[in-house]
This record gives sequence, C-alpha cells and structure tokens, in this order.
Amino acid sequence: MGQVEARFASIIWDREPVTASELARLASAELGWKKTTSYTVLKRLCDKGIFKNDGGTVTSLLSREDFQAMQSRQTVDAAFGGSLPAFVAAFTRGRGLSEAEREQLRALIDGEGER
Amino acid sequence: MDGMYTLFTALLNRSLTAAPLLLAAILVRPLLTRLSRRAMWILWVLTAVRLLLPAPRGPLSVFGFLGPAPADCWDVPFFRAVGLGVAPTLTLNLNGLAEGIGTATHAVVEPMRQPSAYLPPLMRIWALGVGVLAAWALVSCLLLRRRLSEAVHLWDNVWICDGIRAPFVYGLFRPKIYVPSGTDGACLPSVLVHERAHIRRRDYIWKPLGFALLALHWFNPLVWLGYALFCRDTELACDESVLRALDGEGRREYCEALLSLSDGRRTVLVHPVAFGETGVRERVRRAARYKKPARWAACLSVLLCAVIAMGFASVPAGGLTAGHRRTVGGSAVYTRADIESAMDEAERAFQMNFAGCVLRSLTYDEARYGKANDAWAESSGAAQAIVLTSDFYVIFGDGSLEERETYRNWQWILTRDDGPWTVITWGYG
Repeated sequence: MGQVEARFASIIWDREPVTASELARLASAELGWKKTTSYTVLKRLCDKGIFKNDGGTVTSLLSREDFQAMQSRQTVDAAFGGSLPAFVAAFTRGRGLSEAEREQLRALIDGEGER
Repeated sequence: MDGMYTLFTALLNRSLTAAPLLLAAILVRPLLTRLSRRAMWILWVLTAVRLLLPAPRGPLSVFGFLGPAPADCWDVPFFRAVGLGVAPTLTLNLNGLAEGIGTATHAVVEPMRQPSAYLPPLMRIWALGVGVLAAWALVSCLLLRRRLSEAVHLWDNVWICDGIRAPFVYGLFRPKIYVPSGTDGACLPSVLVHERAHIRRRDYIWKPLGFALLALHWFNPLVWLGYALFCRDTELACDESVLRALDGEGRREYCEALLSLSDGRRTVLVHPVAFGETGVRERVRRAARYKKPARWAACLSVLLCAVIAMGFASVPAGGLTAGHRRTVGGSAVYTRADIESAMDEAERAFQMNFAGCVLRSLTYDEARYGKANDAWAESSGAAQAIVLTSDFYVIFGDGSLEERETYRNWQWILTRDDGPWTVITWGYG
C-alpha cells in the first residue's frame, strides 16, 4: 500500500464505521481528492479485502494491527526468507538492542512459548 | 485532394532534406554539448524548424552541388510536387555538369503532372502511422491522468503520488511536480531543484511539441534518434543547471540521488519529463566531472552551430526572379490566365536552372511569335505551344553565360496537351 493510500486507509480505521459520502468529504478535506477519486480508491481497497462497503457504510475487515502484521510478514518473507531471527539481526545491525527492548523480546518469546 | 498531395510531398521533401542536418547534429553532438549546451539546444530547435518550415536560401548550402532550388516550395525537389518515383529533376543538372557546359542551355525539365500511382496508398500508410502514434500518446496521457488524480498536494506546485515510479513534471499550462510517495527524504531537495529546472526551461512544452513533430515524421529513423537524443539533452541540461548552483558536497549528494532513484528504464519518449529515467549512466558520469566551460568554448560552439546551420539548413540560391516585369500582349488564342500560368512555369524553370542570374522581364507578344507557337506545337507533337520572351541579367553564370551581360529576347518554349504548361526548351530560337 502506498503512503497516500495508507493515509486514506488511516482515515477509515480512525473513523469507522463511516458512510461513504462522509468518507469522501473527509478525504477531500485532508487529501484534496475529488469524490470520484475517493470512491475509486475505496473500491480498490475493498477489492483487496481490507475494507467493505455495506450499502454505503464502510467498515474494516482487517484491523489496522492485522493489516500491519500482514505487511510485516510479507516484508520478512520477501527479504529474509521468512526467518524472523534474520530480520531481527538485520534490524539491530549496527545499533544493538537496548535493555528495555531485550526485556520486551524475552517477554514476547516466553508468552509465545506458553501458547 | 491535390492540395493534400502537395502538402504530403512537401512533408516528404522536408524530411529528406532535413536528414543531412539531423545527421550533422547527431554527429556533432558529443563535441558541441561539451562546449556549450545552449548551442546544442539551438541546433535541435533549428532542426525542428527545418522539419516543419520551408528552408531559407543561403550561399553555403551543401545542396548546392545538386543544383539550384525552385521558389515554389523552397525545397530541394527530390519529390516533385505531385509526382513520386520520377527521376529527380536535379539529376539533370548533374548530367549537364558531367557532359559539359554547353548543354545547360538545352536542359529539359521533365516534371510529372499526374499524381503518381504510389501517392495515395503511401499517404494512407503515413496517415495510419500518425494516427497510431497520436492514439498511443492520448492513451498513455489518459492513463497517467487517472493515476495522478490520487495525488496529494504538498506545497507550491509539488504533489505526492502513489502510483508513479519516478519524479516528473506534468501539465501543459500549469505544470506540477509529481514525486513518488516512497522517495527518500535525502533525495528530495535534489529532485526538486532538477524538476524546477525543467519548469524554467519549459521542457514540459518542448517535449510534447517534439513528439508531435516526430508523429508527422515517423517514417524517418533519424528523427526518432534525434528526438531521443534531444530528450536526453534536456535531462543533461537540467543536471547542469543544478550542478552549477551546488558545491562539491552538494554535487555528490545530487549524484547519489540520481543513482538511487533510477530504475534502469529506457528513454521515455512522450511526456512526462522524468528525473531518473533517462540515460542515468551518462548523466552521472557527466555530473561527476562537471566544471564550468570556458569562454572560448562558448564562442567555438556558436561558430560550429552557425556553420552547420548555414551548410545544412539552407538551400542553394537559384535564379532570382523577384520584381520581374510581365507584359501580356493581346491574344486571340490564349486567355490571360493561360499566359500567366505559362509565365509561372517559365519563372520556375529560370529559378531552377539560372543560378546567379536575375530575370528582368517576361513578355508574350502574339503579334511577333504567334506563328512560331504553331510551328513549335507541330514539331513537338503537342496540342498547343507558346513562346515567351525574356530579358535577364547575368551576375555570375555557370560559365556558359557571359557575366555582367544582359540577354535580351531570350525565348522560352512551353507546350501543353490538356494539362498544365511544361517548358520544353529555351534559348535563342
């Protein structure tokens, strides 16, 4: 999702449920888009399965967190062959992990282990 | 329809006679761009004008060895106005030169007045080519507009957009700079300076105009090459104007921006004028070793440009006929329009074959030459003949005419069957 599209999606996630026409008005105010442009982008995002437009009311099928998780997984798959350790190694390369971050990771792994 | 054919053959003429100029521009480009970018740009403009408009006459034209040019379309007539596939009238001059000087007075001009059979299908093919290019341009324009409708305004005339791969300028009347949404912030200043240079130079107008010219001359491969190089030159020129304003550190940043934003695509022919698309390797190489050119370089480049322009962009001067006096005597056989059109043909023949001479007058005197008309018609086997007389002055002839002499009552014999007049011979009876 491009940055501009992400801003549009952000509006929906912030304001949902929202009517399509209200959404168009918000997009016009924040992005300067025509109504038709908003409807076009909305349709595209609905086709991608992120949002749905139920007779004029727009709600999300994927929450923001779910979507970001999906994006991250795609990044790790694409760049690190699905290997999370490789991703973390790359992420921390040159700067190391702070104590707080290490604690967070430990808690996360322990939490996962218990599942 | 005749007018269309005339225009079409004029276009073919221009394309062919502009080819040496194009070739010269392409060959001299490596040297000229190194000396002065502005001179190269002027040369491109000259080439574009040459492809569109009739050529001016000049003393140093390289076409001079082929013979003088007629005044009607001010083109070297490789393709005669409505005929195609006929031996170019200029080769007659070459024959004359080869055989010796004396034959010049009896050279026969053989224009073809019936439209050649090749012309209509050729013109249809040409129109098809133009249509294809125009349609392609229109479609890509519409697709681009659709993507740009989702752009978001940042500041001034800078917009950010998701679906584009490289920054560019778009818009004929109110040009806007569009930047891809993922652009690295560090590159942004360089990008904006470059795009603003494009706006300053009005490249968003020249490039589409050049493409329109390309559409008209699509059959000429040199025009394609010239246009591609012209696009590349506009990018290099913008790079240069940016680098002129930067110091060493800034220049390095600019080069890095160029490298990081290129995606290896080939030259884009239609608008938009993009940042990272055109010949990146060449641009980075030049940007890296850029230094301001010296004054002598600018002078030399202007000289070079002028020499090429005079040699290739002009056509040779022919016989001068402006301001000649016409006397149309009374006639029992021909209307005034008949006589005038015969005089037009004689004038054309003079322009083509009497370089360095000045036509002073053309006269039709039926009282004196009426009988000669019939005799000529009979001996040449045509339906009608007409004898015109002229006075002309020789400034510098081709050797067969005496210099600084006035020739009086020089005859021009024209015949016709049921078409227009054609000159069959001239001289003193």
